[in-house]
Amino acid sequence: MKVWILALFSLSVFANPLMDKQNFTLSRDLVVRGPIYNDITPTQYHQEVFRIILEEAQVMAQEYIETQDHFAYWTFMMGALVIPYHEGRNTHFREIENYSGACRKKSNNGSILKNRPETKKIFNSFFKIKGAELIPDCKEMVSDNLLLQILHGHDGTDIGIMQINIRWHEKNYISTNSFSDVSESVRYGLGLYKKGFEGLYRNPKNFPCLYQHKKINQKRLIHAAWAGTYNSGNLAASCRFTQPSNKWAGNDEKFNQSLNTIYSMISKKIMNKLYPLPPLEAKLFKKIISNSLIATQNETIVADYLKNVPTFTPDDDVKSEKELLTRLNEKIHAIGAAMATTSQKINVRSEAPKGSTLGPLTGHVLETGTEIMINDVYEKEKTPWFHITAPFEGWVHGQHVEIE
Amino acid sequence: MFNLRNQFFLIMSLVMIFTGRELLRNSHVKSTNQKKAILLEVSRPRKYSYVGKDIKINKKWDDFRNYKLPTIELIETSKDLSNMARFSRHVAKRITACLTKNLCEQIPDKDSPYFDYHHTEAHDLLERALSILVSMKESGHDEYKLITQRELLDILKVNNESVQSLAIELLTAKGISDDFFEMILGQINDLHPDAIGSAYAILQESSQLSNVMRDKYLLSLKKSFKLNDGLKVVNLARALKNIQLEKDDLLDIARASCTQKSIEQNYRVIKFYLQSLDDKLFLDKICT
Repeated sequence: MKVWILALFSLSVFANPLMDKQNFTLSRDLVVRGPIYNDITPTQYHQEVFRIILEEAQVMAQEYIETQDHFAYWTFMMGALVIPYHEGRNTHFREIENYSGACRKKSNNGSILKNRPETKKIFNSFFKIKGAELIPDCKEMVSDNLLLQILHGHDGTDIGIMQINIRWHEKNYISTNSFSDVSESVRYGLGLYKKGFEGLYRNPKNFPCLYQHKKINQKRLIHAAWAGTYNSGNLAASCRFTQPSNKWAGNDEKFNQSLNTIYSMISKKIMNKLYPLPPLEAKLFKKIISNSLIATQNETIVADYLKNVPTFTPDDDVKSEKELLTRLNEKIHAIGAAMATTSQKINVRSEAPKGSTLGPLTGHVLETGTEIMINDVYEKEKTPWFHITAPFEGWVHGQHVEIE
Repeated sequence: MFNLRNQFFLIMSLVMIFTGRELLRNSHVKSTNQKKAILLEVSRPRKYSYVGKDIKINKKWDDFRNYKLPTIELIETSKDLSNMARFSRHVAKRITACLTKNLCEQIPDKDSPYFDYHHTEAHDLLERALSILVSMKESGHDEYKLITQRELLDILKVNNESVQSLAIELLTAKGISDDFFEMILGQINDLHPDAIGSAYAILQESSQLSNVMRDKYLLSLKKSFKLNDGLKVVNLARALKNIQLEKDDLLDIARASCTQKSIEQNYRVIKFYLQSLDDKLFLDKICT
């Protein structure tokens, strides 16, 4: 029965049928986090992705709220909704029936990358390790009834909901296994978008394409942030979309379509067709669009939604993985923070590690025996990192922290 | 019988000719593909060709290059930290030299728009080398001191925020002379916009070593607030919470940042962070 339902859903997964053929089939040994298309209904799937996007974007847009920059807040939030829709039609993982050809040989054996030797080397060194292949050859999965897949781009070089390039983001995205987690993938992609957004927004006069009627135009700012840092890796290329003869005009045209589609979700019919959401989320989405158009002050609607609507229960695998820090997490969830003491002198850093690279120092040092207040945990490594709010704000490595 | 034998030879000859042609055709395909592959390899820079064979054959290379292995774990499991420090320093020097010369000959793919000139594979390797040294420092191992301050000053010229932040952390870790402190301040305004704030935060401790250094530090900070680059100024304002300043210094900084008044969104952020440090500081009044 499930197979039939899956087959029906499979037909409606992608607005672009080409994307149906753009997937790496993953090993079942890989622990993945986040919603899986077809494992739940399309509406539930989009609901979960919508929530993840809002969660991640809200954190990044916090300063815009604090400084009452309503225009920046709504523009950033709209861009955050546009980019995953444009890049992967919100799709990251999906589960499908193992019919003949469902596992794409060309994708899984890496031959799709034949013209990209550098990317292929990274693909092989990470996904094709003998005995622990995260993307095994299709013949290894012939007996599986269902396949778990992750979206890739038309030439296999980009991966996931945010279409992150395997070659250029090997160190901080692929090697950290961030692709196996939808939230982390969204966070990583939105981080690139935010870099472009800030680069433009803080020096707008260097980018005349942002302006319309002498004011920064919302859609232009989103498009420029995508075209520059996100799509080109180059802030200086942000205005390329205003030059119709530019080499990547086709990319810009498609992005413009996605941008307009997201704004047209104000229509119930379009939303139901392309971005089906339950009534509460559909209403919120429409409010975000209408608020963005007038840059209203009512930013609390997103925060209220995130606060009042419970998060989705993680899988059992994830639960067992997190058992190590259960005690700490329980405290944090119950009272918002947990107390701990440093067992050695520790530097405070302003960010959690990016991949295996430590974040920059804040300049604050915690002496041995300092009481700290932890309100978040980053568990990427064997030893976690803690976000502390007292005596200073920042991140500390858990190696020399004793939890009370 | 004769006819049959003739027919057999005829058929066999045809088969051989056909097979031979196929073989020839296949060998042609193969050689064309091989040529193509060779061409591709030649036309694109080989992966890490800029690193040099001496580095790639070193036993440390595999662990060094294994980004899945966090640097702190790498330090914990390393049997010879001096050797690892020497190796990291060597890689850092080599990569810095080629990045500043010609971006280590890295070029964008012809058919892809994406290429970040400030964040390439070579930048990642340099960042890895510095991260290893910083992790040694964090774990209380002095081997990180092998890299010299002069070398770190050169690394600061590589325009990448993580590389620059890590380099400044290492520069200040082993104590810093007046001269070097001044040299860093001399380069600080050219740092990547996302590195300038943390650079001042890291330098703060060193600035307190003498009154002369503190004066130079404050003067430089105030000057940086007058920069034309809005992102740098906003990032400096964001970093102020990590810099201990007297009220008078804050007032000077507020005055310097009035240059951003014409860009409303930047002005808002600066105002917000200044007021979070001193709620009696009214930027609107100062910048009238």
